[in-house]
Amino acid sequence: MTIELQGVTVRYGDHVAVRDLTATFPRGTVGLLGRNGAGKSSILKAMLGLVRPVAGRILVHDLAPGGDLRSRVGYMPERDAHLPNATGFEMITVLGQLSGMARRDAWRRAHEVLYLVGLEEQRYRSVAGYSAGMRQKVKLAAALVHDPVILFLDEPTNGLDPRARLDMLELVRRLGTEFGKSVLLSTHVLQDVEAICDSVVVMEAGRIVAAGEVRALTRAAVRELLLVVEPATTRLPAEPATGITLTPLDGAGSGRYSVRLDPAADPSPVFAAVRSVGARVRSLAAQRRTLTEVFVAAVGAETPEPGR
Amino acid sequence: MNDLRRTPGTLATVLESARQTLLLSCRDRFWWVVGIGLLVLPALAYVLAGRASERIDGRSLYCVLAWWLLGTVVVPWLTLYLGVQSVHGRIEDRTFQYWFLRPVGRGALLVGTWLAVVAMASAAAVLGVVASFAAVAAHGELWPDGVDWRLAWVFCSVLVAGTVAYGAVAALLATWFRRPLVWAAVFVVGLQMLAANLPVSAGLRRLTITDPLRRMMLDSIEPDGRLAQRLWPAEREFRSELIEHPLRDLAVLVAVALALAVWAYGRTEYDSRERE
Repeated sequence: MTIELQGVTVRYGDHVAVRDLTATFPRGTVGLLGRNGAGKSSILKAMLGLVRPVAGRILVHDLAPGGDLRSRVGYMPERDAHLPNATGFEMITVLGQLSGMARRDAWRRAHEVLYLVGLEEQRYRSVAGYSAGMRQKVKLAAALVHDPVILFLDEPTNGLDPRARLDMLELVRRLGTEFGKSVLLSTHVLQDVEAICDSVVVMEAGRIVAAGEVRALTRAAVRELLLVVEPATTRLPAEPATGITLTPLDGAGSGRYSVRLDPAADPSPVFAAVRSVGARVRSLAAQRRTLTEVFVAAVGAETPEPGR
Repeated sequence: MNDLRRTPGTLATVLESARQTLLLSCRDRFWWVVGIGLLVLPALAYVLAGRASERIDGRSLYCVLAWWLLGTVVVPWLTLYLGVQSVHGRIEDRTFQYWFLRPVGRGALLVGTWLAVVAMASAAAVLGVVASFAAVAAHGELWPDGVDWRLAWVFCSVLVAGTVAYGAVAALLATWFRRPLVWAAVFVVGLQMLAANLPVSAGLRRLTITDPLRRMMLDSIEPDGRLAQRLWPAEREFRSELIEHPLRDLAVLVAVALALAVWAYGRTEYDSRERE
């Protein structure tokens, strides 16, 4: 997708929602992660041209927001938005026609996208009577009807039960892998990003506090190793060599240690330390951080949303 | 799929927007209220005509009824409500995000919506005029010189012109204000009822819709002094020179209101966040 932001600032009156933000979003499925109020939706709307930044420049596929870009992007808004008195099929058809499709083409396309999102059985029901999961799906269909190359999805799993959430994530994943869409997924649910995104941009208080490929970010702690020794009662020194610290996990006597290595440190003193107390190494493996840990490290000590 | 998609032109967008607004509005429960109103209106007109004193003829009775009930109450409120609902409703229910992200001009979308509002309100107004006229015309004794069917045509034209203007004002209020119905009330009750009854020399009257509509109507029905007094109480001596150019005044008002509405609709960053 390649989205370039240079010094973008978005304000709502006195409130600065996005502050001097400079970033490049790569192709693929990118997660825009942050707590509520971090500025995710605002930057999304600025990219779409729904709000005008007070400073900075935005380019999406080398196009400025608004104008021709509108035919290339699909937007799934965070909050419920459905055309009054319309069925799912009518809503999608209307939006197809307003995108320039002839009526029959819009009908055909509406059937296609409603089938894709799993609303084929409910397409002739009023959207007002849809469940939360169905409303999310019809919003996704609205974003897809004109076959955009980029999808901006704002909290697509909001209000969904676990099963519906997994279905939605699978659908978004397929849009990226099977249909070749670039997806920018704005969410505060870490697991959603971890499950389907190639890259992530973490926002906090209108700024980017971490960015990169999900694998690279979680690998950033590759110098944290998990050591398991036998016998479990083995007691190892806390600092067997310079730049290496051992911390017992799950209390003393579990035989499990967290090994922290400085970037330049060689792990061989760990083996020596284990041998020196007459024990043996059962396993020594890289310990991957979860995205939750990356997020907490990036935004500060506060934990993410409860239950997430 | 890409071959299906082409950027629609301005006229195509206007027509598509109008068509979609009509289709989506047709199922609004509000039309039940309009339907009931269209039944009550002729019944009321019939009863009033039956009880009319000998001093008033069918022509005067119908003009007074059509003007004061339809022209100053029903048509303004109906059109303003439909206009505000159609334009501001999209902002309230956040569907403007879908509309604004289509590759079409916002101005064309708004003009299309306005046309749809005018069409809906005009249809209701014409039905109201015809139904109430038929009810009064049914009392043949009130029309000693025969039923003047031309009156129905006059009021149809005047009230359709009214829907055009009220629709434009509704678009203006809906695009500029967060609570457009409140401002609509200020416009109809506060401004129109006061200003439209000021002396003809008062420039403030040109900011109203009632005033040019009334002059249009008076120009067409050529009332006698008594009927003119009933329809324009602020003018003690009605003279044809007072008519001036009501259609031009109305056209200017519509053009200015629509231009301002289109300008605001194209520039305003409407807020889709939760209302406080």
